[in-house]
Amino acid sequence: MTAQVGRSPRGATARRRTARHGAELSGAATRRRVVLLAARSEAVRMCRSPLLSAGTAVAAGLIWWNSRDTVPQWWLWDVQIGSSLLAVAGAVLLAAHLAAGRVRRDGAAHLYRSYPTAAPARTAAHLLSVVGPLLVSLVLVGAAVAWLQAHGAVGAPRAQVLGQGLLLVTLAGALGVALGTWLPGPMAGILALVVLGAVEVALVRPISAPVRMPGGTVWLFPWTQPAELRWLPGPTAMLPPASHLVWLAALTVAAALVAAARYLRARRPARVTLAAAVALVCVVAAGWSGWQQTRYPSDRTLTALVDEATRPARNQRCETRERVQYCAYPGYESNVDRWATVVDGVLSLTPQVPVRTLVVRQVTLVDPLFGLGFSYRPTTRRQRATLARLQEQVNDYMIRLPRDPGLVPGSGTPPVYVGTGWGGGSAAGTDEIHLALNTAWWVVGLPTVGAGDPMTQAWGAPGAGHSCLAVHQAREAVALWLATVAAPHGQTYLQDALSNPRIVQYQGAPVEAYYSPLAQYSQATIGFTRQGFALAAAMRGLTRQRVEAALAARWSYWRGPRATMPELAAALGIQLPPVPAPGRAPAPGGIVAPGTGGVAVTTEPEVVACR
Amino acid sequence: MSGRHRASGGAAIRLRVMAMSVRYAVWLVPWGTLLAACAVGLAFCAAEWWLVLRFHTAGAVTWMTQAGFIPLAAAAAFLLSDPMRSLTASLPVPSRWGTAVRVGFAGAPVAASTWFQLHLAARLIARIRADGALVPPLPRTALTVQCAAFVAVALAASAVVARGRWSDLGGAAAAPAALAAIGAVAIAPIRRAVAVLATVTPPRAIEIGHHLAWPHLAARWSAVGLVAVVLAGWEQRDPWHRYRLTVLVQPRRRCR
Repeated sequence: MTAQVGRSPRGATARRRTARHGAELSGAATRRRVVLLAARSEAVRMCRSPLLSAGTAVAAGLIWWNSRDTVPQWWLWDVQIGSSLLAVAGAVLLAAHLAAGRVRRDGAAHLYRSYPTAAPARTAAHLLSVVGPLLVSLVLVGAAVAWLQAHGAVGAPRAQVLGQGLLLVTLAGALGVALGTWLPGPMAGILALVVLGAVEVALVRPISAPVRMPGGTVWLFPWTQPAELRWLPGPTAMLPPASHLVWLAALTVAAALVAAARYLRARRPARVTLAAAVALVCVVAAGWSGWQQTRYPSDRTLTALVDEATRPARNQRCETRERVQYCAYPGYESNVDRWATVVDGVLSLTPQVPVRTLVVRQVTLVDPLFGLGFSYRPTTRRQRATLARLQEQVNDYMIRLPRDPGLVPGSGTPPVYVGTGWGGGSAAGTDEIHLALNTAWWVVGLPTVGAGDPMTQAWGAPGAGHSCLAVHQAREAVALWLATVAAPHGQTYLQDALSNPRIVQYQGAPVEAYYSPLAQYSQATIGFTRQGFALAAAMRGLTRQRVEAALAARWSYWRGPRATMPELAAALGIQLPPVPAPGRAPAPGGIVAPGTGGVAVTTEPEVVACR
Repeated sequence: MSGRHRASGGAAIRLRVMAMSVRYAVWLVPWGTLLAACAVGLAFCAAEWWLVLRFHTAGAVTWMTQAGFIPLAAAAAFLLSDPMRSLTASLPVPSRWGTAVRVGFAGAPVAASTWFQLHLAARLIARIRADGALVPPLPRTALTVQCAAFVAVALAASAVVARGRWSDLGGAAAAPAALAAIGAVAIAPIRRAVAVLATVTPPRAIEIGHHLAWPHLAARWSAVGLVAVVLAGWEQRDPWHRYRLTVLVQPRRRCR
């Protein structure tokens, strides 16, 4: 018997085993390579899809449109970017659905079955191809962040919230692949888009949305945008909850499993076991994140939110610039420059700035608990008691803010308040004129909030506070002149205010007055008369030097309550502008509702003159 | 055979082919898609009842009724796709005939679903008003016109896509385009645009522009629907005509 090296029966078995193992290895490697190549091809195809282009254009347009006339606040805008990405997500859902269902829709299933790579590989390729639109979304988000930062956004973007927006795109892609794998008909994807789109439009719309989900269940939907975000002075951990990221990831993996399940065969126990394990992890993650999201916020979170709004002095950082102290919430440092432009504009026109330090303080003008009930609802007695206590604290603050000048310790006398919002571009005029009026009122010593004087009730807004009226006093015209020259873009706003006059009683005679809020959404207002506005307009027609010279000559007198408008007009060398009669005289002590031509008359306390 | 006899024989054949093509046209109607869309529209109605009665949000009625029309429009976008277009184009019948048959047959379930949705919405509004809520009655006419306009826009989109390079996708391409067009019309500031246009045109056009400043929903969607119907009808002309991008080609070289 001739000995043959390497030809023994045991060696042949080993060689066969090695060959089979090598074939399997090369088969697995081939499959991976095919999957990656197919995924890359599908990703390119999706990125070139007109659907994705349209969705990206819509999202970019939404971001531009909503940011064009405001100074962005990052705790609102990182959520808003997510809302804008819903357009991309919808496009990806459709595109992925069409791609995944292409084989069966074209009747080519038998043809593809003849290929060496099985159907699960195609499904995996489609799932991986979502990386393409995800990269496009990433570029869009990066561009949006750069754009908003260039606009002087307040605060800083939260990566986990931006990540949630990107996960929306991934979830939509996985959902589209799952739908396309099971229901390749194009109408299935379109109907899914219509239903999900209707749900999301209802949840993302602001206050006027018709849907209010109970408790925290709103966060179980892919996305929502709470309306109260825009009024908060800073970010809060509960909007949106960080666990929403895990929730979206769990939904994405679940959708991928549904897609893969179509071709999962019981003859491959390893794969079935793997799928079951992943599904279990998914369920646990979804359960935990779902519970976290629907949980009522802790007392500590709510108390911090309320304290931030109602105790601004404790939570703000103050910065002094040339005898003006600016106190702002953290993150609003960039707004101080905008405020300083207006304040310096008013002070530069003043012949003699008061010795006392002007404090410009940022305040929250809207109830921070407003809208909380839309997202969460207390279920235990302790939660209800805490909410009631905090709500009482907020109500006390909101009622006292327009009335009590000493409410916020460390604020000046009178206090000069500015809100948390600020318009961008041409829309900044409204905020500028509000701050300019407040500052000008401070300069001439007029109260910006009711200093314990009897208040007139605002028509249609019970509980609002007004300052007194400097009827016939020269300092009112001076303050209006200071404000309108320092904030020229706000003159349009004041012109609009003239279309809404109120006829009030002063010493038995009707006087036409106008009320400008301290800031947007503020219930507190400062009032001025038509005569004062007309004199200020006449002063704007003069040269600045002439007005400054006249004011400087007797500045302390013009600041006082005894100087009258005719005296000021004479000092300026102009006629006191005539103003038309204020219309039908109301009953004694009455106030005529605006826009009614003097028809409705209510009995109100007579207006108080400023002292 | 005399010419008159040939003409009457040709007309009879044409009528016969038209009658036979009805069966094919009915087969082309995407019944599954239509019924699924009607079902989703009715599901919107059910959700509307739940939302309004559970959360007392009367404002949801009109909004959700309008949302219920969108699936119908999406289904209409699948109506005019014909996988055997190249063959049916050679039949001796006007191309509009097949379209009309399909629209006629598909119109029945769509009209029934629309009527049912509006009926449910009106009953819901009546119930809310009976409970003392101050809500206006349902604007049935305006909503009916709006639904018809939605469907017309979808048909026009379907007709345009059928002539383009994405004709094989059919409704999958037409439906998103139709929904995008509907959304654009819904949010377009038409009155503002007409007002701006009126300021830059001659006085006579300004007068016309003011007349065109329609403040009402029904008027807006009536106009849109009319334009869409005209466009869909115009797209039924020469069935062999295809849209294609005009490509710059090199000048032809003359043979020498």
